[in-house]
Amino acid sequence: MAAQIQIMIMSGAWDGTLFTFSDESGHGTWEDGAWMIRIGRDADNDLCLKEDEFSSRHHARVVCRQDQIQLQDQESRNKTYIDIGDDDKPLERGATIPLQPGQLFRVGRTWMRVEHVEMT
Amino acid sequence: MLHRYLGVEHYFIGMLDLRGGLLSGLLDKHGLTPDYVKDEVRRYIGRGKEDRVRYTGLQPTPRAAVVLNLAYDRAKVEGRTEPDERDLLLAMLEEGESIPCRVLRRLGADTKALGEQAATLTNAARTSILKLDFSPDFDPAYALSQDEVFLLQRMFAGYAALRIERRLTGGYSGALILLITPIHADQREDAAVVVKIADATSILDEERRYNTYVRNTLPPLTARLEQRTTAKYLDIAGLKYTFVADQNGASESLRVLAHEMGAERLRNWLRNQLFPYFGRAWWMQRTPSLFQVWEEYDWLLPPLLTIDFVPEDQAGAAPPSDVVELNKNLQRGQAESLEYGTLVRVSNFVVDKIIRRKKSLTLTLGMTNTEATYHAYRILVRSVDVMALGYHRREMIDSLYGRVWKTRRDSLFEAVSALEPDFDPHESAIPFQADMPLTNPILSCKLLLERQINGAFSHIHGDLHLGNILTGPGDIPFLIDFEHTRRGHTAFDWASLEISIWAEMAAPLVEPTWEGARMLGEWMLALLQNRSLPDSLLGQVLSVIAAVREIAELCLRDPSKWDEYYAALAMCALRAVTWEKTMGLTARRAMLLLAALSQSLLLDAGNRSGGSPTSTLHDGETDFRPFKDN
Repeated sequence: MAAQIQIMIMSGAWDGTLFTFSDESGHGTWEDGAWMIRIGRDADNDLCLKEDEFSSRHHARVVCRQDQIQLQDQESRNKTYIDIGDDDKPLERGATIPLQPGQLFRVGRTWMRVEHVEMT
Repeated sequence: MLHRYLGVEHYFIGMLDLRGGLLSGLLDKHGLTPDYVKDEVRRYIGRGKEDRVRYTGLQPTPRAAVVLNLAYDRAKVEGRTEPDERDLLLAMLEEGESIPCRVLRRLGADTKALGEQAATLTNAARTSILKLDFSPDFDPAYALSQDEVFLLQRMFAGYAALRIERRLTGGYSGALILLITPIHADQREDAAVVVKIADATSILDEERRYNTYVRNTLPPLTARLEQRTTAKYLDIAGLKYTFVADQNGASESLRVLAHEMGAERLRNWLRNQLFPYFGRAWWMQRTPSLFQVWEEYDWLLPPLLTIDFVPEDQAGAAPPSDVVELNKNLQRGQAESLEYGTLVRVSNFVVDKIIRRKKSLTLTLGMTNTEATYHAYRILVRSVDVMALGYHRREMIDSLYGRVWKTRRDSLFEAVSALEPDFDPHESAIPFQADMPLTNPILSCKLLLERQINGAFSHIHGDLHLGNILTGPGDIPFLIDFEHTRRGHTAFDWASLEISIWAEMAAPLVEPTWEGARMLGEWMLALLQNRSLPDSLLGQVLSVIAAVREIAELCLRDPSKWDEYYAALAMCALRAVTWEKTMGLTARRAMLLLAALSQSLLLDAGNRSGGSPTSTLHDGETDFRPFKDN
C-alpha cells in the first residue's frame, strides 16, 4: 500500500510551510494497517518541532487509514488541541479522535492542518 | 511576545498600534477595539519562552513573506515602491489564512467585508471612521485635534457616530470638556455623556482621586465616572462621566447660567443647594489643621525653577564647584537666588509629570504629607528626550543636570509684564489708592508661603469654579472635574469660586483698562470693609461674592478669624495672574490687585499683632470682615 500526506504549518516560525510525507520516502510507520506520522520535538519524529518549546518529545500522531484520519495524543505534557470554530478544545491525554482534512489542530504552540491524504 | 520570528500576526499587532490607523478604525467600526483583538491574537498564539536561545535577527515566516510580497505587488500597481498600511491589510485579508484572519473570524468579524471597506475607504474617511457631528451649540471656532479625534474613536468604539453637543467649560487648566451623544449604526442614540480630555497624567490623577475621595462621598444624583481611556503614544487621555439632565437634556454650568439666574437666585442656590448638597460629606466634615501656607498652595504657583536639561556626559566635565546641588534640603530662597545659566544637579526628586510632545519633565520633592505637598517644590525640566531616557512617573531621580532657565519669581514677573502695567512691577509696592499702596504680591508671596495657618481641612473639590458647577433636574447641583479633589484646606474651594466670579462676572462689567481693574480693586476693598454695594449690575455680582464668603465663613475653623480665607484668596489670585491663555487681561489685572490686597491685609494683620512675618496668622486680629448680604 502507498501512503502520502501533506501537512501545512499554520503558526510559528514555519507558518505557511507545507510538508509532504510519503511511505515511499520512508516517512511514517505502519501499525495494524494504519500509517502513522509522528509529531514532536525529538529528531526521530517525522514532523520535528524542535523550535517549539511547548511541544513534548513525542507529542502526537496523525493516524491514516483507508477510510479516515485520526489525531492521537501521545500523553503529551501540554496536550493536543483541535480548533472547534470559536475556540480550542483539548484532547484527553492519550485520546484519539477523528480528524477532517482542513481541520486545524495544535501541537505545543504550533497550529497545523492536514491538507491532503492519499492511501492507495 | 518573545518570538524569534516575524509572523503576519506581528505585523498585524503593529498595525493595531498605529494611532489613527486604518485597521484600528475599521475594527472600531465592526465593534472590536484594537486592544481586544490584540489580546485575542496573543492568547491564540501565546508567548515564547524567555530562556530561549538568543537569535541575532528576526526572519519573516514563509506566510509573512507571501503576505509582504502581495503587499509590495499592490503598491507597485499603484506606482509606489513601498506598501502602506492598506496594502498590507489587503494582502493579509487576501491571503486569508494567517493567524490574524483566523482570530478575526473567531471574533465574528466578516473578513471579506473588512477587505471591501479597506479597499474603498478614502483618505478622508480613514482619519475619521467614527462620524462626528457637531450640534449648532458647539463653538465652530474650536477644531478638535487629530489626537482628540483619535481618542474619541477609542472611547466610543462600537458606535457609528457622535454628536458633539457643546463644550461644557473651558477650564483654566486647558482641559477640553465636551457633552457628547453617542449614536449607534441604526441611529439609536444613547444617553449623553460628559467627556473630559486632558494630558494623560492629569487624567490618571483624576481617576485615582475620584476613586479615593469622590466615589463614596457623592450625593445620590450626580455625575459619576464611567470609563477612563488612554492610548499608546498619546500624551492625552480621556474620562467619561455620566451626564445628569432632565428629560429635555437640560443641564448647564454656572458659567452659562449665572447671568440668567440673577443674583438673588444664584446666591440662594449656592447657599441652599450647592453647599448643603455636597457639603454634608465634604466641606462640613472638616477637622482642625495647623499647616504652613506652602503645604497647600506652593503647587499653585509657577515652578520653583525651570531648567534646560544637560546630558550627564557634558555636565560631568564641569568642576564640582560650578555645580549647585538641588536635593531634598532645597530652600525656596536658594532656588530664587539662582542665576540664569547656573548648572544644577537635581537629586532625590520624584518624576511627577512627563509630557513627551513638549519634551518636559516635572519633578517634585514628592513629600507625602498631603496630596498638595506632593506637588510642592516643582522643578520643570525642558528639552529632555523623555522617550530615549526612559523616565517614568513617580520614579526617584538619582541625578539629573540642567542649566537654570528661569526662577519662579521670573515667571511671575513675566506674567505681570504681560498685564502691561502702568507701574514698575519690581517695586516693593504697587499703586492702588493715594494713601494705600499695596504690597507687591510677587515679592511678598515668599513670606506668605511660610506662614502658619490654624485652619480647617476636609474633602475639597480642588478646582471649584463656575465652569465645574452644573445644575441638573430640579436645580440639583452636580460637580465635574475631580482632577484636584483631595483632602485639603476647606477655604480653598470658596476662594477659587470667588476668583472665578471676579474674573468671569465682574471683570466684563468694567472698562478694559487698569482704571477698570482698580475700580474692581476698590470694590474688593469695600467688601473687605463691609461697605454698601452699588445699586448696579456690578453690585449684584458683588452680592454673589458676598454670598460665597458667607459660605466660606461656615468653613472657617474659627468664624471670627478670616486669615485662613484671605491666605487662600491671595494664593488663588496670584495663580490666576499667570493664566494668560485662559483669563482676560482685565480679570488678570484685577487678580493681581486682589492678591496684593489680600497679602497686604494679611501682612498688616501679622505685623499689628506684633508678630514677625513668620508668626502665625491666627494671632493677628483682623478687622476686615466679610460683607453681609442684605
